[in-house]
Amino acid sequence: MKVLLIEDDTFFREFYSSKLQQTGMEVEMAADGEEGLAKVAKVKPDVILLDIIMPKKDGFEVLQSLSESPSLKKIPVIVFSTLGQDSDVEKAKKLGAVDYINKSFFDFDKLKSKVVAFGKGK
Amino acid sequence: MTDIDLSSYKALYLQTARQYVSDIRQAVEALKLNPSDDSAITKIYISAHSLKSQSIMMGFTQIGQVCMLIEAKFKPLREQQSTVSPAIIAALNDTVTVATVTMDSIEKDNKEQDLSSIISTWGQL
Repeated sequence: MKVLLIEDDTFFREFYSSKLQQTGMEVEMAADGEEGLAKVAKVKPDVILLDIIMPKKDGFEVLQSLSESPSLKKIPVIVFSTLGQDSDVEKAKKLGAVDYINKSFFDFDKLKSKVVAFGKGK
Repeated sequence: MTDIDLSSYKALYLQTARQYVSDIRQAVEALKLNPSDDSAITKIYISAHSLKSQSIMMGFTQIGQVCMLIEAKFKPLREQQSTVSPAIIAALNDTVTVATVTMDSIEKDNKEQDLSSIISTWGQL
């Protein structure tokens, strides 16, 4: 399972990548939306974990760009949410995100099950 | 998170959290010169957002709450390209001071300082 993690925060990037790698998943990372879009095309991940609030291109812009590509729009995108971001999650879902994970309340089993479920279903 | 996980990630948390506090400090200095500085407003918004998320995950809920209040205040400022008031700039100054002390407390004793006063300040703005 190949995961692309698009997340500007160093702490969460390191934390989530290490947790996913411990399960045997291959993890590619990008630190902003622009870098993320470049890597999607290159890496062709099974699943994308996408932060919403980022400098340069934010998560919404990434989702919009992915939806405009016939090949890339098939890749399932799970967005990261935090407290106070319910409306952002709804907006992300309208732009094509398949699910969300609240990154402030880490639940590894939930993360892994969502990544596996959506990654296999692609 | 277990105690083992907390200690494993505390150093990383402190490194990134202190960077966010530093970023906010620099942005506040920019706002003192120009209260409409879009770049500074965005920097504060994103820094508060990120520091909120990782603080809550690490169990440092007071810092998380302060950052959530700052994020909520700065989201419309960013969207509407507004001017930051002197009261908000003063609150940010105080926040940077208490956040710096709190980071030191977390490093030394694994716990936050009492942030109820700054939380109340932001709640009233």
